[in-house]
Amino acid sequence: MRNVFGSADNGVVVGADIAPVREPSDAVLIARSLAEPDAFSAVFDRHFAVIHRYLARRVGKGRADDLAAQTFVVAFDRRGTFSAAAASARPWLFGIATNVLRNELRSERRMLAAIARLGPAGSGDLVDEVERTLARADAAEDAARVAGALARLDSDQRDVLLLHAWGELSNQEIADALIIPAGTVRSRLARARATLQRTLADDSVEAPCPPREESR
Amino acid sequence: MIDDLELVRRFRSEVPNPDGPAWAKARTLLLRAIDVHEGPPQPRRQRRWWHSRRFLACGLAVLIGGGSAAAAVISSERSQPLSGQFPANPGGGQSIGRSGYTISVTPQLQAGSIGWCDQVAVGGHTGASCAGTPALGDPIADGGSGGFSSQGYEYMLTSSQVAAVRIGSGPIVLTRRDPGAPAGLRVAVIVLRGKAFRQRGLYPRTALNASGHPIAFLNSSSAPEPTLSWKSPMGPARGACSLRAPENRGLRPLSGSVLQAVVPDPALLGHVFLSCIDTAYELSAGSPGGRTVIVAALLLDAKHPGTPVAPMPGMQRVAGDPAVLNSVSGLTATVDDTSGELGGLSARRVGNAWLVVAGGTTLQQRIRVLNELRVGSIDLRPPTVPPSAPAGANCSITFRPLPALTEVSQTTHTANGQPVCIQASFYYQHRLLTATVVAGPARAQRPAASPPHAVSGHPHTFTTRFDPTRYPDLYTTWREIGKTTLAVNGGTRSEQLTLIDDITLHLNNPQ
Repeated sequence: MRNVFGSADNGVVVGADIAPVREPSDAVLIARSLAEPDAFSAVFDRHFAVIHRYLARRVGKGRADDLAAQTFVVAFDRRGTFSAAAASARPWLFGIATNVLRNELRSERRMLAAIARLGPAGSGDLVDEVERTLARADAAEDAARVAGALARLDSDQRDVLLLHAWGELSNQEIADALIIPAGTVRSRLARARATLQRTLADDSVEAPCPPREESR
Repeated sequence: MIDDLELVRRFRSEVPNPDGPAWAKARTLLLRAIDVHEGPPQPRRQRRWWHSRRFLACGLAVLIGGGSAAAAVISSERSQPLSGQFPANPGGGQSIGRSGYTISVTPQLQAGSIGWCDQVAVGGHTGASCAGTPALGDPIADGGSGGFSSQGYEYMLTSSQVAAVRIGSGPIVLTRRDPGAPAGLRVAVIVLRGKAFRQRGLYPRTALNASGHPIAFLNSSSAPEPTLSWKSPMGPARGACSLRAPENRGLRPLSGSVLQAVVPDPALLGHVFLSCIDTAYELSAGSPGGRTVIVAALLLDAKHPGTPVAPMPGMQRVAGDPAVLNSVSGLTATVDDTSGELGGLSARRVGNAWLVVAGGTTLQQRIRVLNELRVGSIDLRPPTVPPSAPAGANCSITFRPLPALTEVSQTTHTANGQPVCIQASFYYQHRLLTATVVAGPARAQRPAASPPHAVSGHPHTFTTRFDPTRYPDLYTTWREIGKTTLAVNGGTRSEQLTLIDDITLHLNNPQ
């Protein structure tokens, strides 16, 4: 809303903003970016932090810097596929981030394995100082158990579970993000949680399965 | 039963938000992609694009080429002064460089107001409006904008901690001190051209510190100061301050408003004024050619009322009367019949306050009013009777005294079509918290945010977070009490919980 007391004639605009300008929705910004690419940068400003944080939790900050940047470059390139009916671009961006992440499956599994095997006091090439600091912040035992449990999930189940738990997406949003039926989301989530329950119920902290190659 | 989801949510939850370099690098890569873009993209919905070699090749090329060139790609420029000439338009076309511009910043005068008005002049055209002031909740206060459709400027007031302002993903403006700016504040004046000017105000501003990192958002805002308004033929309302015009001197009070009590605002940044009283006077003598209105106001230090007020920005001493300061510009939004542009503004110190008059047609009229008005004693005592619910309200709240907790007001109103049973405002530490009680099931009152989390150890109490991307510390905490919901906004999450635990809700007319 603008409140202009001054004159506005002869092409002259003089005035002042005295109230916050209502920001356009993601759909409006992305639609606008089709003709005015600069508009997409506002989508970046709005969602970069949450996408980066999600990726950092999955593969560590070092890789997240690159992957988050890559996510938005891809999103910009693919902005024509964004559904104008969507209330927020966040699920769509999470979907892109998840797909970008698939090239990093080994990195993720190695990191989870390292946390599970070595615990917060562990060291190694795969766990840098930042990761060790983060691991110390988590309860040591829980962190190791959860890392081990996550490492046991197949990548599809892990994607759905972490989009739900960390991305805070609903089942329908996850379905939209991954372009899969909502029923598939529900079944993958149920299987993931069942596996988690079984693994976490075991009091003994055991090393996770050795990283396996995942075929897609 | 193991809560597997909760364990997963907690796992690696301490991962921090991206730092400045990560942000800058990613933005640089995106801007490069935007720069090389040609024509609108074509949807390829069915193709599993992330498997394409083209994507991988492009992505790697961008990443390799990106490097650490963020600083070179993201432009920054030093703020223009509040008054000056526009730089030449390098793109040619319509330029306003020759006409120059002037931005005059003056204090708000309406009682209870804390903030600044600006009068802008570009090429013989003028305009003005009033806005807020930098505070802990937002260290950037939007100012005005002006110019031609092809080029113009936008300006902001910032706290002294703000070294630069980033506008959307675009330019970064390095703030500057300016003799026309209020004490302790800086300005950011940026010249915008073409589309950037036409889209001014569209993108969010980010305050950056001297290291180039965003300044953390603090969940804080200012409470409305409690005022009483009046209009002739009513007599002036009685409040914490008073102004008196001697009889038979041609000053007829028309309308005004006054603070009921002076409540300091600890969240303010810089040296800011709080208007304690404003009164519009009609000059019935010595004003040829019809009705002349002058507005008088008494300004206190908003953070520490009763202490000496800071210098008035952008004013000069009047030759022959050095106690009086004058500015050719002045605007005030006061009571209904006197709002708008009022021309000049003059002021003199009265004790630890400023007596300010605006309007009239000449400086002599304003000096005359300044000399004739009498300022009564200022009541700086906190309200002796704490705020209470309005008569007939269905709800009221009481609270146990806590150190650093001050209640400001209790009101009832309607929000989003639903009656608010009671809403109370508090200052806790240096932040404003509001407690709102609404009837009905809690589910209907939940804000649209992330899923609520039950607060352990506090029955029927939940918390949720708003958009964490923009506001990492913005939470709402609420408690379901029977068929009502008590929600607290503002402050930190722990402060919200403390206040909820401290409040007792009274239902006067339970349904």
